[in-house]
Amino acid sequence: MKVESTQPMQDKKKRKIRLIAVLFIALLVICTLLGNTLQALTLPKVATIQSSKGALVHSYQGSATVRSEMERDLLNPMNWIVEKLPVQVGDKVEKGQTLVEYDDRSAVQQLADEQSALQKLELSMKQLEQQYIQAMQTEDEMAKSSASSAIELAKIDIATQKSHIQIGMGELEEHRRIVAPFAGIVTDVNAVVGLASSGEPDIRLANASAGFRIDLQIPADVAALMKEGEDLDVLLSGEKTRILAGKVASIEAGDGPPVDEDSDSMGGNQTAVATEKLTVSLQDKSLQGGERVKVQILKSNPEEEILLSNQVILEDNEGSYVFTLEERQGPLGNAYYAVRTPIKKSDSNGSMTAVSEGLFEEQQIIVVGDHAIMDGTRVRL
Amino acid sequence: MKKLNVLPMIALTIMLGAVAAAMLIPILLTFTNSLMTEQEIGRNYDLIGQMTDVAAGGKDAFVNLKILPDWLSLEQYTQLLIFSPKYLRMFWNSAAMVVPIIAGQTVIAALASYALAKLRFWGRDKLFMLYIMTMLMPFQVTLVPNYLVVDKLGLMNHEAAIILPGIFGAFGVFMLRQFMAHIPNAYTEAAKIDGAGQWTIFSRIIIPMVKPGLAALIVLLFVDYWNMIEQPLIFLQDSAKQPLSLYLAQIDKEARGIGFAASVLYMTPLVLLFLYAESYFIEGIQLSGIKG
Repeated sequence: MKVESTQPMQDKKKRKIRLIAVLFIALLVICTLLGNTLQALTLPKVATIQSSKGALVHSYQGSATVRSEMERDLLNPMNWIVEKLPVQVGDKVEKGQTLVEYDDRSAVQQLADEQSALQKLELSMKQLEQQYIQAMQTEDEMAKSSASSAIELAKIDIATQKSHIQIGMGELEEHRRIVAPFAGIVTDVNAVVGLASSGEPDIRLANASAGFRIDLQIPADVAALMKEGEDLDVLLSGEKTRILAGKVASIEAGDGPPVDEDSDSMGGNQTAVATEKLTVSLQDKSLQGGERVKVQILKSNPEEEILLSNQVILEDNEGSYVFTLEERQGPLGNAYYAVRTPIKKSDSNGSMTAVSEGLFEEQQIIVVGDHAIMDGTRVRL
Repeated sequence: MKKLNVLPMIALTIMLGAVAAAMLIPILLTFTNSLMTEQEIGRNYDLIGQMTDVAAGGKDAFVNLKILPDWLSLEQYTQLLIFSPKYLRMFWNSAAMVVPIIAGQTVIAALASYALAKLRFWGRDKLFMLYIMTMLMPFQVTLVPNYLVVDKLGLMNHEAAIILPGIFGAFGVFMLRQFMAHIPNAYTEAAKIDGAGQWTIFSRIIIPMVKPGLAALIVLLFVDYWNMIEQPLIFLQDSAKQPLSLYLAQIDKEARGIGFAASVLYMTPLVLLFLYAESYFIEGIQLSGIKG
């Protein structure tokens, strides 16, 4: 009887326990399955890149104007007014060819004045000779000697005047026109018909046979990988686009602006970059000087090292470092941690850095985003 | 007569009540502490072992056994169930070892004890004695041979190193044999006359009759293997394979709160199983006790 009366209570109790057990196991199962997901939602999400070996490429792209190796500025020393200008920029001229003619009327007038003065002197000479003859006839010693001196003085004056005229004529002949001192190409004309010189050279003449050159301000890291005598192709832009063979003539420490105005050091790093002046000589018959050319230099560092994007490299007072991704085997899957890894930079360009120590190939490097990451921070991918 | 019986009853009640309280208070404390914040637990226990000068204004060095938490906090459980995947992993590790052991040992023990109790063959009792002797030796005694066997079988660091010896444990055989010996042979003989084979007798007659014993065995085995320490400590070096019983040992002072919560979750399956099988269990223990 007793057993029968307690049986329904026992069953009820068992049902309750079964329910609790089911709920308990369900809770554990849900936590097991979703625990990682819930946990992951609270962790900073990071992106990674894989480190790889390669040669660091230093690049430079810029443009420059072709200049002749030998250029001569032809000036107007007398500051005369330009009368005729038979040449213009780009004209090929022969040696001795007239380039500019000047208005020489004032000089001609001055020369005429000088010649009149000479004639006057010659006339006075005749008077002095008459005086000397009269003195001889009077046998007045005093008069004789003074007449003789006067004649000598007049002779000197005449000689000086003749010399002046001579020089004046020579100058007139020399300066009334500018002639080409050598066969070449007119690269610049500042002279204007009807006006005197503005202070700049009237004509700039380039010697075509001496060759051409371009000057470039290139980043020092690119310059360090170049050597004098090396071949360098340049692209002639404009109507007649083609590639010209050039040769590096000299590399000098630069003092110009960081990088050429048109240049684009890859990556767009805006900080001032140390530059060097690169001179490239061009030997090409068709060049005239003044053309714009484009230059692209791609130089890879001979040593293969781990290459990293500059954006993953961080700096502090202890040096450069990156956060590498460490995978730790967890009981329920793998957990990822950010590990501070010091590195040694060996070379860098605007966008990439070569790392000589601290990393190995195919390591996962964390791209530090908006999240503050510290050494040992657990992260999710 | 009645008056004489009241006093001993009161005395007995008080005594048993005290014993029950001594048993229950730690469990109650564990449960309530698991609902406290880490700071509150720190305030309650940090003074243990510190001698402070009370006269100079220092706090006394007694443990503040607080039953009710200031603030109910599920932080420890969140930490454990969500942010410590290791705990759940170990929980399932435990389950993955205990369930096969119990299933295996129950089946093996039922079959073996049937043979030892109800079949007649030469050397039966000697064989049983031999079997019992293995049970009498504690694990530490057989540790080295066990280790060598496991190593030779290539089971080191594998759950089978725990499960296989567990399945063939002697305790289940011993316990169920006592149960079956208690069943009068008249049942089996009657079945035999009716044309039942051994399997029919075993499955239709004996097993239903030893249900309380099976329930008791399951509870006892569960307690035994859920709490095992030495075997996994020795045979499972890989922490990802270790069971929950080893987790509590790894909790340090800074994570006492976690420890309380871990303990509560740890004992929940045991408590649920015991409550479920309580009636069978008591009956089973009684029966085996009478005959054993």
